[in-house]
Amino acid sequence: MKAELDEGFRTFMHGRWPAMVRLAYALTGDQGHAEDLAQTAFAKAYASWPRVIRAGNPDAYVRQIVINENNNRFRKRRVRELSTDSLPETSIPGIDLASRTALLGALKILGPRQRAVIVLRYWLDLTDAETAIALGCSVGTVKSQASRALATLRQHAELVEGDLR
Amino acid sequence: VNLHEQLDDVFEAISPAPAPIEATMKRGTRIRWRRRVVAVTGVAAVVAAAIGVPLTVHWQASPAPAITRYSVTVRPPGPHAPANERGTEFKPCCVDG
Repeated sequence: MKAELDEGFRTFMHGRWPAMVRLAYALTGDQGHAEDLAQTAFAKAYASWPRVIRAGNPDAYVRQIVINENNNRFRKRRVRELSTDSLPETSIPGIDLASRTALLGALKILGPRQRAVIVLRYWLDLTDAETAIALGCSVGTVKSQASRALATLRQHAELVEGDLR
Repeated sequence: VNLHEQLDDVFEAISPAPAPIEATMKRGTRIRWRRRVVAVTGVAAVVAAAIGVPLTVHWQASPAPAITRYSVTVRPPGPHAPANERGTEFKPCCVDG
């Protein structure tokens, strides 16, 4: 029984590891932190693996732990990111603002909550309500944070051209 | 190109290190044990509190037993006293009176 559960966990982690690291990276902006965060999330899921399996959606469970751990990281360590007037990446002539570097740079000027809203709402395509549940805040907060974050991103207009929902 | 696609392009480009599965499972096992220890400690603390608190409260709430000292002065029974008489109360007020 335990061997079966362990094998199930191995398969799950092997399959979902890249996606969770990418989510953690989207939230933290740092690959080292992202891998640590993802590992913590999988370890916590493994600690309650039979219950996680019974609940029926291990992917959502691990994703929620990643989000919570990221929130805790900011609460506990008082990590702060200060907004800056200019981005080095975007100020370099000849670099397309829609490039990967520019978008990453633009995301980094967002606060952690605003970045999380952008990632969950516009990358993972969660609804406002689902995003609010995931972040433990109200739908109104999600909307206002999304609005502010998009306004910041629109300062680099090419980044968000197109049909934003 | 909409924001979703741009974000997709950015984050799909990340190539994570291989999944540290065995290390994660060991870490998960440690977390599980820590949770069990915390749970057992919590239960023990609740049981100790459930037993200890009422005892302490009871001990503090109950008043100290009143110690009443009676001072009785008796006279030995006289020569014609009934057989079962052990003594006669001495009342100073009567003597004074």
